[in-house]
Amino acid sequence: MFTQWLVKPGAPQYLWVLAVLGDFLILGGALFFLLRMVPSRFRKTLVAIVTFGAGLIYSVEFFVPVPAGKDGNFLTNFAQKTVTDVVLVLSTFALGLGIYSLLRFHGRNLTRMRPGWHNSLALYVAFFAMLLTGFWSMMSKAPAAANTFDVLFRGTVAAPGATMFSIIAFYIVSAAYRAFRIRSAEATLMLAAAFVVMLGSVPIGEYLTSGLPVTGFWSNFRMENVNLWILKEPNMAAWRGISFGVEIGALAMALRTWLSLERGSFFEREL
Amino acid sequence: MEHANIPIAVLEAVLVFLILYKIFSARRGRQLYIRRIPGLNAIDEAIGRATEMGRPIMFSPGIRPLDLPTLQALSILRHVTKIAAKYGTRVIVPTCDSVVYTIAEEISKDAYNSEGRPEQFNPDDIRYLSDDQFAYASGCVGILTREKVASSLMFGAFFAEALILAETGHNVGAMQVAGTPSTTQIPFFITSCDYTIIGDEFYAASAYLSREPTLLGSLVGQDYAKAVLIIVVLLGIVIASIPWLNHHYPSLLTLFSKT
Amino acid sequence: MERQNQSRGDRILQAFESLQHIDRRVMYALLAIVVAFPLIRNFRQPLVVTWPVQGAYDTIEKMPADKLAIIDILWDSGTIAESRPQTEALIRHLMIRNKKFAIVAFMPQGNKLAYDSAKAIGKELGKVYGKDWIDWGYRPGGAMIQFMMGLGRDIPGTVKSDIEGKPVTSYPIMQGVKSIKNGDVGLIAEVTPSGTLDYWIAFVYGPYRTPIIYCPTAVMAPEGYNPLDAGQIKGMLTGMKGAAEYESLLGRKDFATRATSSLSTSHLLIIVLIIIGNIGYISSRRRRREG
Repeated sequence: MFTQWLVKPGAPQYLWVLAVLGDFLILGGALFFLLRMVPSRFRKTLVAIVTFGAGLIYSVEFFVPVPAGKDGNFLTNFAQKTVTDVVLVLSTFALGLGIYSLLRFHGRNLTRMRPGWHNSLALYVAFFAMLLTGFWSMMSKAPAAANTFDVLFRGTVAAPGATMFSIIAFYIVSAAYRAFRIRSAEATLMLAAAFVVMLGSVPIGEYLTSGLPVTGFWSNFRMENVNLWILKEPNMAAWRGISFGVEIGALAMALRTWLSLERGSFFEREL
Repeated sequence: MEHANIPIAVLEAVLVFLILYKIFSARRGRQLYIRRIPGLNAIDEAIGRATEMGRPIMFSPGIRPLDLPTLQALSILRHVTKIAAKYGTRVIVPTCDSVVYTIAEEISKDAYNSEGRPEQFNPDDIRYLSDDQFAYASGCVGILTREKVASSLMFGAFFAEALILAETGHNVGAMQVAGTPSTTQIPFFITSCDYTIIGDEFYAASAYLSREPTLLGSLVGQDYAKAVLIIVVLLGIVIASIPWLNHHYPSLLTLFSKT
Repeated sequence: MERQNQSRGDRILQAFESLQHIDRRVMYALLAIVVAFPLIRNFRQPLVVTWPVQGAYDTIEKMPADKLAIIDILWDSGTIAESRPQTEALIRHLMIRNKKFAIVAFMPQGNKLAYDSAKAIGKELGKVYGKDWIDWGYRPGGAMIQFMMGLGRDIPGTVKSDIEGKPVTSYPIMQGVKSIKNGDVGLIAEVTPSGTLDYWIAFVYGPYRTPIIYCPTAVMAPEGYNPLDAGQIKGMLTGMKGAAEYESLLGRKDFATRATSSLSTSHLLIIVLIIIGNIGYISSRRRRREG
């Protein structure tokens, strides 16, 4: 609202940004002082009311029927558009908070020269290198800018990520070797199923039963079909059972949080 | 966006009623029983092991931002930190989200204060590593190896990094207890961890550990809700298996589908 | 004589028992060799196309040419080995069949990687950006659900600009594209290592019945069989093998096809090691029983 008073249409973009920031500071500050003035015994009630109201939007939106010919009820647009914008703003603030806490922690390591300070220095160098080259590639049309960013992105961001994921392959070998022992009948059954699924997922397994016909009764015994049957039938049955339990657990927890019935230090602390 | 039809609304109302009814009946003093869950009992054992060895515990609350599994993980963190504070054992908490980091810090500080050990709280033990999944995994691997962690507790939502954390924990000789609602990662935890908590045992953890009436009541209510769902599934099987019913009442099979 | 035989038998059992304690570094070295060797020697195996992959292929074949396909990129460099071949196979198929598509990414890294792939394939097949394909750029993952809901009602209003920051309505490919509800979108293909399929099913398939193809990594594939069984997704490409099967349907032998040999050898290695470990386990159990 202050933005509209202070900034006329057609004004440069940076003025809009400053005005919006100013809006946030003024409104945020006012809200902060108002909340501090609320007596402490009413603060929890206030939080409970706000929590209930926020959750009520989605509950009502889900249960209120949609009028014929429309694709949403009176709350759909609000739940979809306005809440998105709020979530985006909050997640951007959280990003800034994360960067601050990261730089603060590693900054302390550097200033106090704690053991492992060189890792913190590497963080700072990497952080500012990517930040500056990123901005450079955005603002400059020079090929050097795009190329530098590309090299840094592919070499120091994409490649290590792929490397860490690849480590899982090695860990699976050692974990499977250690865990798959025929200690009992159930363990043996699980081992047999694991062999079938592993072989059915790769061409060499398919090759083992390639002599069987592609259609007809005997095709059911082709490795890839046995693999798919195991994944689709018994695996899915177990999956659905676990999912029912998990989703009911999530429903209960969401209900407790929404109605402020949740217990635990974070929910019971004095405000 | 999906919206409820009448059968879905009725089913939801029944499930919600059951959960709330049991919560309020537990609050009125009714005694409730939960079966033993070995994985949750093992948390105390893991803390004891770390205390005896004089080495820290690593508690990973998952890689998701602040959502239901992470909230549940943080409630377990409180329990763990309270016991660890009693015995003077360090709890290192690497987080993958800045909001989770601030809440984990508050929870840890509160736990140490409630045990009368505020001086033991070290803010550097609560670390925000990175939002990136594998950067977080590398950071946790570094903590497990450099700090020579005696016990590794992994609770929350995990994805591919689950095996990296679990296997590294095994390699450093840590006792590991894991719990996640992420069904795809359960096999990896089972192969590498000493104890794994599966499915809705994860959501039962806070009730099990604290024995708080509201949470116990909610847990029993969940079991009743599951029983209702089983009955609905059985009815669906019966309806789908009887051709006469299919033919004359085809809409029964799509009762819970949005029309 | 009996005592000598017993101790020899005991020594044999003891030797087998050590098989259950193979140093993990040896296993890691063996794995590195069996993964690298097929890639260097480049030997191929026949591939069988499974019905989930065939379903995905047929869905794209059947998609009307005047509709837009949306490829949702949720992967980053971590799963590049599985997700990029899947993405490239889908892009190639769409381009070969002259079907329009839009890329949207909910991961910043994936955004760039997918754009680079599409650009390279487009250049190879003579496809023009803005006319044959478009990249809507990166959207924050936190706003994914709201973005999906927005696509259902108003695509230009939700997307607004493309990866280059220009209004999407200025591109020929987006002319006449209003919303999913209007029937302008023929297909959604989700390439992801995370469990976000439920959102597309809930917010797009549920209300509008838009066909969905799911392309998870192999470890996430079990999640997809439920909706596949229920008909909520029309096809599934499971990890790198799914991509290899798709390549064979396109008559190509790209990276995924070459890499399936490594998949085969590594799986065989795991099976052999498990068998060896169990031989050691059985020997130790027998030795304990006899002792």
